[in-house]
Amino acid sequence: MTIPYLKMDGIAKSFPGVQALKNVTFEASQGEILALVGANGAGKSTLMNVLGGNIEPNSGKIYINGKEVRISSPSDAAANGIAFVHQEMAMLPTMSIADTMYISSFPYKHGLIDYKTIYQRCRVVLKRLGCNFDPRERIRNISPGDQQMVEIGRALLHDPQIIIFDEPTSSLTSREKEHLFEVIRTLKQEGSVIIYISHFLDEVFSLCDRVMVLRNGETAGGGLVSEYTNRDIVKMMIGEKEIDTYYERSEHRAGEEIMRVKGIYRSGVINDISFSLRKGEVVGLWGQLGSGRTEVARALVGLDPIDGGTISIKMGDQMMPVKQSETKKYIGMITENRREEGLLLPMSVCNNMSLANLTNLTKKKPFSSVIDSKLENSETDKYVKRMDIKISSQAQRVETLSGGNQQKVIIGRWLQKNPPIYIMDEPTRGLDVGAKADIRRIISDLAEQGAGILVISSEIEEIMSVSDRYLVMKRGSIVAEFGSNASKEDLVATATGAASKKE
Amino acid sequence: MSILNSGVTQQLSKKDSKEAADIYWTRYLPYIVLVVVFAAVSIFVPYFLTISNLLSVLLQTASLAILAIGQAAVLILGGIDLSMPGVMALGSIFGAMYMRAGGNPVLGAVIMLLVPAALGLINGISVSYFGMIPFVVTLAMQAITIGAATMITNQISIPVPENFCNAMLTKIGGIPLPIIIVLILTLFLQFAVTKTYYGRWLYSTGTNMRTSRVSGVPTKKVVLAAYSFAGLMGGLAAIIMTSRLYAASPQMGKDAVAMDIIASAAVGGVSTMGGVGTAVNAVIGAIIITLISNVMNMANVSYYLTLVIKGIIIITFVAIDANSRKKSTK
Ligand SMILES: Nc1ncnc2c1ncn2[C@@H]1O[C@H](COP(=O)(O)OP(=O)(O)OP(=O)(O)O)[C@@H](O)[C@H]1O
Ligand SMILES: [Mg+2]
Repeated sequence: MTIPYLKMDGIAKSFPGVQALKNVTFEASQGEILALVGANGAGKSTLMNVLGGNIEPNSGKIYINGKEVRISSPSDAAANGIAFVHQEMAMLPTMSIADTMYISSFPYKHGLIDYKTIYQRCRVVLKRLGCNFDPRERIRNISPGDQQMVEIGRALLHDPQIIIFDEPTSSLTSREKEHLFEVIRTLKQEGSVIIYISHFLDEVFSLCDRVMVLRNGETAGGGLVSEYTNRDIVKMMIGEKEIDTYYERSEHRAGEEIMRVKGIYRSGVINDISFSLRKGEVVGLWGQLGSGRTEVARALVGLDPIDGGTISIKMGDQMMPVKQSETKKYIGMITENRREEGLLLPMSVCNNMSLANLTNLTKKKPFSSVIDSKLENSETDKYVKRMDIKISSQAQRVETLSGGNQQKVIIGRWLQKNPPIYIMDEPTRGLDVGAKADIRRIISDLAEQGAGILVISSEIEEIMSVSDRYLVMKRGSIVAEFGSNASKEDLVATATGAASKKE
Repeated sequence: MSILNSGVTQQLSKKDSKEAADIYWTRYLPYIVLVVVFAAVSIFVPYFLTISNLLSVLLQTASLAILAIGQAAVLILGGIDLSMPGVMALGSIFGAMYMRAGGNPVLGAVIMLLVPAALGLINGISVSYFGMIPFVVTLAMQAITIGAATMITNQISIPVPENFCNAMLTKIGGIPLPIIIVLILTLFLQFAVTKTYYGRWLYSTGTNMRTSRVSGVPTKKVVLAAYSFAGLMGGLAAIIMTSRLYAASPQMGKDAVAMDIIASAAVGGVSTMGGVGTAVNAVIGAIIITLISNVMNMANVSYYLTLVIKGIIIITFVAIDANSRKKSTK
């Protein structure tokens, strides 16, 4: 038997209150794509951060090509040919593509940054990814998918032998996804070791050769992908307990109108958006990435300005026009970018989960601006349990939670506040299969209890499994509306414009 | 949960604090520095440890402590207020002019309080509703107020009635009124900032404005309130300082005072990057800076060297803060 190119042996890592990795052994060979899967908080990112030199393990050894190596910083990792495409992209919108790619390793010539070399090298690397950007272009001027390509380009700069992808597809369109897969397959053919972390098992089956499953910081199994079924892998991920990933869509009974949007627009971004939302109804806002769906959601809660139009919300038994800056009082908004607009990263789980609900967590009369911390803690506890959030204590800082658990914190925050209207932009981003199904159930429950919900998702199966009605967007306008009997083909065709010509 | 800590370091349970100790050792730094400076001064300065001397040091600290508390509110938001000295001076001058013209001392004090609060409100509106950059707005406000103060007075101080000063400096149980004011104010604000939702809003807005806004925190009002509060503290400091000097003078507002205020906040453990700090931090910082100033004064260190040293102190503490943050996010 040949020795594997990469071997991580007996890796253990504990954080305050949690043993994230217990004696994990991990092997990968050249020319293969290895899927690393596991439930939220299983330790996938931690394991890869050990390999990438971002986290120092408590014990364990790493071998490359049979030789033991010490990796105690990202630059050690780079020196050993390891590159990391991170789960959470942290890009500066005003920087150029070239600066973003070279930020950690500017080459100098005569004491000045050698831009000629940089631009040349960037072009070569980007070309290899099938992108023809000008390296001087600003990050904010390219799409999230292209930003992801830049991130990958940065990883490829130094011809790595081992490339780690941590949930790379969560902000990509299906075309961009296909493109990324092609790039990854090419890298594999060139003999790289590819480690691919994902919660999308279909991606694992279509892309990867081998799979390794982590559960609670331990190896739960693994082998050739072809030897497993979807169900096998899920079982390894969450154990023998009832696998409840299946969710049967239930019809909701829509009640009276709760929000009415009339002709809101912002020039160049969204045009003449009108629709209404009723109590107990889940409306799917469907469209391609960049169709304006996110912009509509943001406009509704005053995160982006609008040039005109009105938003009315039901108050008492009247529809009242509400100022754009006031709508937040009635709407629970889950934004698509959790680090920038969803979380208070250095603050505690408890503080994050109570943030929207503070005015309801106070003591009695003369102290009605004092937070009742017992109440705050018990409310937090309730929704930590409800959402099954993996934390070591309520005081744990949110930045140290796994990506999926961070997302659950945001959803839990709104459940605690319990507003009459919800807008959810990619609510299941980064969640494992079990948690995704759970969110669908929660959405359904909320509707049952009379909330009006607007859901945006890039996954058509997801949006179809919860929606009672669909609004389809294209180029900033609502171009079609469907009832619950819409087919997948209807939705895809109208969103891409293959079928309808009307606009 | 301790009332002494808030923002990022709030609610660190025992379990967490064990391993987080090395990350958060900086949280105890202000107390360590205070003890060290205090010990050093009491060894080298005779009679330092007498009650009357300690009271006089605290009395000397009072106005700086109040200014630092105001500054802390703005720094926690991730902003800065460079106009506090000028705003304070102008408030003091208007009040003194009113009293010189025969006005009632109580109303004079109210003017000293409200003029700076109004100027703080203008800072707040500029930053929150017009989205202007705090550094620029408050620097301009400092220029305006100090310029106006100098013009109005012709650089001559305006005396205030003795009964005004004596009233402000009365002793209650042997302790001068300004010290009692600082004590009560600190306790009250410490409670407000760590226990009420207004305090939580302040920290959440300073930690991440966009997240707070999405979650329904009235971030614009929070920003507005913080700058107005800073102005109001400038006014309170104006009253105390004026009564200690028996006069209002544009000298009170010179730019170097801003250095002392920001140094106090930084040394006391208020982060200049937002989200961290409390009233107690600001007061401890003010005591440290006052002690250091006194020592340099006694040692006949030149004014310019004093500036150099204070500048270095600010940079050192900001660097320690930045470094501990980098570690903690890893
Ligand atoms: N710096 C840290 N401090 C404390 N706990 C941490 C830290 N980093 C990670 N953890 C904990 O370690 C566990 C594993 O987290 P990790 O990010 O590796 O999970 P993951 O498998 O990547 O999950 P996800 O699919 O949600 O991204 C989690 O319980 C997390 O809270
Ligand atoms: Mg992860």
